[in-house]
Amino acid sequence: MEERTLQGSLTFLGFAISVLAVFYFAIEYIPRVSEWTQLAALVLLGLAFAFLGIYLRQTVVGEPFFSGPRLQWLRPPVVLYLLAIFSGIVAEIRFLTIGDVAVPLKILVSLAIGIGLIVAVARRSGRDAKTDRPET
Amino acid sequence: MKTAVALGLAVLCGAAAVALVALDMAFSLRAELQSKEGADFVTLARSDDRGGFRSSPGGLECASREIRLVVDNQRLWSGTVDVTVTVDNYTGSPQRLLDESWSLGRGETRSASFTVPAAIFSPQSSQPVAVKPMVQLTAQVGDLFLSTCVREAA
Repeated sequence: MEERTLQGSLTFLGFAISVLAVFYFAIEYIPRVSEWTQLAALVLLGLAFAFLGIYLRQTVVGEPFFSGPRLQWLRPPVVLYLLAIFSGIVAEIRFLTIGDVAVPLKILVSLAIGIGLIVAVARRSGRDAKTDRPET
Repeated sequence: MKTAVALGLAVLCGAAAVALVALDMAFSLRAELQSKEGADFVTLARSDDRGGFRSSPGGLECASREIRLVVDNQRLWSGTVDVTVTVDNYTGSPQRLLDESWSLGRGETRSASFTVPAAIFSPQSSQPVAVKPMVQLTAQVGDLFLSTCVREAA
């Protein structure tokens, strides 16, 4: 168990350092570019985190950092999904503060994206449930 | 989703984000506020500086009253940009020194020189007597924002 804890700690440290590097890039460079580039960069970073989470979920690195029932949820894919969510929220806030876009259009686009996400995930989950259900 | 596809998309999106930021910084609109010091102009503020009062590139604290705004269009296209320069002595409404629309071609540099009026350095009762009169100059070039303090003495 001690060896597993050491492995988990080192893996966690590796992730923490990498994530800090990405945050540092975002804080130092993203504010220097135009509004639309900021938005696109945040969306792309969010997608990168999400896809990386999907990739790691299927590998040995996707296992929990630490043993024990209480920390089973703390896994690299979960951390990456949370970062993707954070990037998405920051991108949305950035979009809402862009001055060139009319307010009604911002509201419309935001609602379309938000509701579209919910509907897409629900339909995908429904399809997966039908596929998993044994045929009678 | 297959692992190879997910990894490929992650790398692609990450690289695209970095490339987008790098290209935007390389091909962007740049602006500088320069102060006349003797026969030369010294840069006080640049559009890629993120702090209004960080140590200025030229090593000066505040600009002299003779100021030059330089705008350099390094974007890949030409365009029109709104340029506004205001000066604020904290006692009333900011005074507008420049308010124009500049049409800049690709790679074109344009500058405008102006002098901050001496009358704007009115005695400010809220400031201690020992403090030298100073006003705040702000330049808005498109969505770029530059700011510097201006001293009364030549």
